Amino acid sequence: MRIPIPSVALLLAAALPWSSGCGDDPGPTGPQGGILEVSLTTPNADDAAMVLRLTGPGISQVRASEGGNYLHLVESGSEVIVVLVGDLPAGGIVRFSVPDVEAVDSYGAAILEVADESNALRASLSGYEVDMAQWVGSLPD
Amino acid sequence: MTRLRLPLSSGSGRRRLPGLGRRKPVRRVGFLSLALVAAALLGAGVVVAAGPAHRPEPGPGDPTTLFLDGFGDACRLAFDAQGNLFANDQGVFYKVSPGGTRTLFTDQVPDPRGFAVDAFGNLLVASPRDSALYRVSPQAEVSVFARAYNARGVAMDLDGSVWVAAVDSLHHFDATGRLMEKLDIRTKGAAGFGIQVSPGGELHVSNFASLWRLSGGTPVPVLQGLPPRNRGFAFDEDGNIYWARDAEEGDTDRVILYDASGEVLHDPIIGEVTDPCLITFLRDEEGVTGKRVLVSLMDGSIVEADAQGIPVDGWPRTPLSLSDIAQEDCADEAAGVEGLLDPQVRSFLDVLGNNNGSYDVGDFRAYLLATGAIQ
Repeated sequence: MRIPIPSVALLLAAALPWSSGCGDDPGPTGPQGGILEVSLTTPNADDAAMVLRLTGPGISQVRASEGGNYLHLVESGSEVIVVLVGDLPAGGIVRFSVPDVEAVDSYGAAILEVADESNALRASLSGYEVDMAQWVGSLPD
Repeated sequence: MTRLRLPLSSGSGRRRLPGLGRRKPVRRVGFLSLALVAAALLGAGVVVAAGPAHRPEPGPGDPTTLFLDGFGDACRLAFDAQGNLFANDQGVFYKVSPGGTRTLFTDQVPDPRGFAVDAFGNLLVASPRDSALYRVSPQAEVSVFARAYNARGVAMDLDGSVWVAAVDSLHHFDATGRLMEKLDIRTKGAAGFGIQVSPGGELHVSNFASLWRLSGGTPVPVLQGLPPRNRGFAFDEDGNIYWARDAEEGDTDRVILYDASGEVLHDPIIGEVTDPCLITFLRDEEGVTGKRVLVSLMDGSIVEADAQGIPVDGWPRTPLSLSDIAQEDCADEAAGVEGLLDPQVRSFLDVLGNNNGSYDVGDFRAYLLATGAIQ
């Protein structure tokens, strides 16, 4: 018996589970939370304490990239001041959660103070830079 | 002249233990004998003019109660931030806990005189024989903190810096022992054995019979011509001065309270004492100074005044102590939050750190290291 194609299509459609979001939708839309990491470029090898300013919406779960370092936060609106003490070589120093990891350009970081291992405050921050990029992983509690 | 010891009012609880300490030499003459002579003269029709009273008059801080005994000569006392008492008994330091447990702390400081507890809980002890200020850690480890010729007295300033009275001069060290300044006082008519900083931040020095206030580096007389037996003085939080008057013949031993300008407020403030040598305000287990006042006596005992009769709390109320500085406040200030730390604390932490004149993240790191929060 020949079944008309439109009828077959109707029968197949009836047999398939049907819910919103299924079908030919390629994936979820909208913001995706994630983690950003601040990386340090430094002209020195003995940085031992630092004050950073992070800016941007929804910053949370700020953590030191190096687990043994001391970290203290002062939060005010979309600004977070980070006091970081410990081993601070070039590379990742701080990570934090954001509600939209794609909006990395919405976030900023700036170095305010740096002290060395003798506790002397750096007279100049020339040569110091910070960059920000997505970091894949999970933050500790 | 022997002082006739009157029976104390009931409930005073003070007793003199036999065989303790030194007796004052030479000055003891039979008062009773004189009384008998006077009575005989009166009986013979000879008028005897009434002399000055020899009986101790009670003051607001009386009656006193025995606080500690068993020392030989423990005039000099100091408390740490946990309320432990340290006594220098003829060159040996004892530590007495708030619960009364007494232990030998150290006998390794040569020729120890005046001492104070610094912001780290160390004893800083003047040693004139060694021209040194020794540091004795809470673990009783002895080391040299600084050098000062003829060092006699020690006092802490509000920012944790250290003043040393060295008779002809005064030495000012920061909390780490770096010399900040030296002041000549001998050529300006003063001498420094006792030393304290007033609530107003003014340095005061004393010899056995006089007290001066340093004004612009110049000693200004506050008390003069007193019986030359005083070993030191204490401030209350109003800047009033407690002075132990170990009197000469015809006078009475007592503690007098003067105001900051040297005017008498209470004479006596504490009257029922014999051979007092020094006044110390007690610190409790929280390190806070209240109205409890101790009087060291030459016989080796220490008595406590009636706190209800003491007008105001002693000074400083909470001496600077590293352990009392809140880490959270230090961290917040390092992050730029202002007004959490007193200026004296900021100065102290700066000295502890990089000593650049302001508090910064380097000083905060030094604080974390000093408190053991980081290694």
